[in-house]
Amino acid sequence: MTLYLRLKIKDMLTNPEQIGWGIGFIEFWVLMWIFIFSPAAGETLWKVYVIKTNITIAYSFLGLLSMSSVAIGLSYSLFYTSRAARYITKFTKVSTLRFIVEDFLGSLLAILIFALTIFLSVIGFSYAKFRILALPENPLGVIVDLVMAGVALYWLAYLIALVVIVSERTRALTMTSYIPLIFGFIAYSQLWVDLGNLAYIIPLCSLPALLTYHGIGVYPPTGAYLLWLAGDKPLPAINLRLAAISVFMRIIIFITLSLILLRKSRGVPMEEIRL
Amino acid sequence: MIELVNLCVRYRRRQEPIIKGVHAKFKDKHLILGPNGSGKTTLFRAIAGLAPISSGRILIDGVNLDEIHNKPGVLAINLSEVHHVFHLNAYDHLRLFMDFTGGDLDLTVEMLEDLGLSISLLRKRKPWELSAGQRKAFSTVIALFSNAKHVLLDEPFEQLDPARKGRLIEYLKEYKGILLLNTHETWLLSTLKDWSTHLMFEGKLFGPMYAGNLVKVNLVIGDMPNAMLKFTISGKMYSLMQGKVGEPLSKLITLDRIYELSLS
Repeated sequence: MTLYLRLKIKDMLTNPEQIGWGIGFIEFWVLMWIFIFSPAAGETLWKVYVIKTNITIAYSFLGLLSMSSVAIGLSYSLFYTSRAARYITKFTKVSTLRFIVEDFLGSLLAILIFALTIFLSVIGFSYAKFRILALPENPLGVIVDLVMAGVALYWLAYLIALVVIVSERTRALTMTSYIPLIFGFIAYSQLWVDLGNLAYIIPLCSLPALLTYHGIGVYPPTGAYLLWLAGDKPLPAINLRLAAISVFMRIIIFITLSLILLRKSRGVPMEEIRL
Repeated sequence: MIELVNLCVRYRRRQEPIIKGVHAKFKDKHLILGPNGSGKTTLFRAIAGLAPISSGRILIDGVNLDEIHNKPGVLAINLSEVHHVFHLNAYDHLRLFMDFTGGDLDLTVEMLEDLGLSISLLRKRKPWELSAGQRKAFSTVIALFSNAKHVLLDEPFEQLDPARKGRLIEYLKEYKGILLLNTHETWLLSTLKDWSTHLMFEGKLFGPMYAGNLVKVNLVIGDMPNAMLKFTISGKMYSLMQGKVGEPLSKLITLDRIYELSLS
């Protein structure tokens, strides 16, 4: 592992803001979900299934919110280091490709550590309350989904920072950096709202379905998860293949646009950062 | 050698250029002397590829700046904005840049300690948590120890205490490599007498002349015959003259005072 990669991971994992919003804030909602909003402990097989589904939905949605929160900090860090990045890739042994790859890998690893912390805490707290160990049906599938979410969010954050730099609207960063979290909350709204086909179109909205599928092995709906969990009303199941394609397409679009903008970016001068 | 050919720089499309058609060649040790706001830092940013060139060219050893990628040892600069990468302490940043450039970490630490920046301080503080003088010294030492052929030093003495200034000057005098140092402090002229010097006003370079020669000249407002150098600031003509007329350039202490002279 190169020094840059090690320091990138250290940077992400020791940043108090990232820890506060990516873990502290979300852990509060984990506790609320498990100990306040969840139904009582189950005894019958059906109740065990409902609790397992509830826990899976919890780590799917809250994990995504945690990653979205971290993406805000990521946009900021990409923005602040834009000058350094240009200088480094021009006058040091680090090529542009190597810089991007290492920055991406370091960020991804850190994002995944944040998401896994939420995942493990949901599993741990739910075991403490229900005495049910709700491990995913397909752990590899869950990991792949989390990686895809991390990749999508990293490139979304990168794209936002580059749009701000290239369009010379540096003061817009405060507002635009929240776009990943806004998408995160739109996805979160699927707990109550059935987005229908919009779930395939709005970024991040098809990810909870993939996570839920790999968590409990059943096809979730396109939204209104809590209604679905209660079993009061039948809801149309999501097309998982389309959901996965939607995520892949999103990642490709974010990467392509970022690389196009990267060529035009010269970084942000210090004076503008202080504004 | 760094060569600037009719260089114009502006940050925004509709903005008036900050650097206005500059021609220059830098192949040894050079001072760029100009008041604050004259475009010195922007010129350095442009040479380091950090500012948009609206027209003209920058060649480093004959290679167009735009074609330089991933080339350690070509150029280093002491702007702190290029040395702030992470939300980590200054020592981590130091290690990173020595790793990137193949610089000697131990020697760098030695020089930093000589300038009053101990390892414990660097481990404790993030680069932006250092004082302004410490931050400048930190970036200057990183640039000097980056094994680069061309080193650009933007106001390296700013907010350094006199003892540290002295140590840094001695080091710069002995430095083997092409150095470009910009400053608004005219006292440097008598210290770095054999350095080639350009004056910079309102985005234009004037010169070069040896610093030693500039120590002896006086600044006169107006278009004087037999002037060694003439330049215009805000539409007003200035002449550099030998003799007893005008204000000795080295006595100004800082070139910012040139604007006060024009008012008097």
